[in-house]
Amino acid sequence: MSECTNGELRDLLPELVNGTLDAEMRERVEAHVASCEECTAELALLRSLRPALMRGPMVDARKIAAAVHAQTSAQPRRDATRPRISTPLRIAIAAAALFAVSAIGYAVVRRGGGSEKVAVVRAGDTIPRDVAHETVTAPAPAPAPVVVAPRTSPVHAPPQQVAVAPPHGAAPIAAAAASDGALDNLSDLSDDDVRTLTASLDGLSSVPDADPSAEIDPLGASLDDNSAGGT
Amino acid sequence: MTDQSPSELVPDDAALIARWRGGEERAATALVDRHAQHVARFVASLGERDEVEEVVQDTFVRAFGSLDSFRGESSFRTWLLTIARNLVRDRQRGRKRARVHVEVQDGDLVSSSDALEGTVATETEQRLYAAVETLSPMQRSIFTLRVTEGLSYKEIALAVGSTEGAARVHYHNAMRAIREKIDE
Repeated sequence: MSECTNGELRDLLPELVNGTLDAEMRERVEAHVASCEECTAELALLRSLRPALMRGPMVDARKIAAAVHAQTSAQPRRDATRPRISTPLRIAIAAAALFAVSAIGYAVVRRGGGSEKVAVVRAGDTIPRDVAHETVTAPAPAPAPVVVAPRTSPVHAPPQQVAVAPPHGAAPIAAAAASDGALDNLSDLSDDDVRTLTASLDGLSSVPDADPSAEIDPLGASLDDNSAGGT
Repeated sequence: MTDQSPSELVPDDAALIARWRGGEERAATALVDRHAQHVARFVASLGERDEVEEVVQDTFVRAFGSLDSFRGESSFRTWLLTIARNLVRDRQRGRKRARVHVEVQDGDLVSSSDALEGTVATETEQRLYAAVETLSPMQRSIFTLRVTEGLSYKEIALAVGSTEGAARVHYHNAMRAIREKIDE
């Protein structure tokens, strides 16, 4: 038996058997088969095989359709009550929400504190002596509600009972009086000290909430710890 | 009497899918009727014999459960075959993990093959079918898709997770093996 020399047309024998060729192509393939022994034999084999292969296992289409209906009719109810959100997506959304809240809080505090350019002092707080005097090296941010006062109103207070809250930007530091206290020696800070203090305060990544709730106290504490790490 | 276009009389798969998405459940029934037997033959050709209907049912349930992900880049039937192939593969892996003994698997294959041969009408067809049974699962599935479904090599490659060229080679190797088996 001579071998086929036209692989392209031989490749179309299954389409010829299945009747999926258009008229023109069918004529070409049939003409080739008529002159090719190998394709003639192969076409005969395919025509014999197809009925055997087509029998195959029988399945109950109605039963399958019923299962599909049962599954798909239940699905919209589930979707309506609980949208499909994967766990990683939920985590991402929670993280994004947390970040957004932090950013908004930061922006609000910055905007609120930026116009005054003041140092914040709270009565009753203690301050390390090196802060109260000339060796200020690190900020002591006060996360609690603060009392602000214009920098032009320095008030003297006992050195152990005042704290310096972070001013922002390059604003000059002034002492702010607490309701019943006064600053001591802050006016003695040199320009270098002021710049050092300002720079270190500017390095803070976020500003504590002006009115932190109890729920975020642990976080606030950790942030304080971090910010104090450089001291 | 109203005029109806052929597509309205016999809606194609895309039209049925659109109807189903629009809430027409009968469209799903029509799609199952149209493709279930084809999927069953393919599942059987992959060597899954005892639970063909279960696999086919799972195939359709999964297909309609994730129809939103069907973008129409292949035909709906090819997409169904792809899902069916994955299901069969998962089952076969599950059996391997369950440490089913090789002899038991062989025994199952013989019995299922015998059962299938019982559905083949003539002795000649039985001989032909027996020749097909000697093929590897990959060869058998590709050969079946080519001969019974008339799929192109490109569609076959999508369905079986192979390449177009590999599908062509598998088909011709299968054809040669069957002829040799019949000539014995």
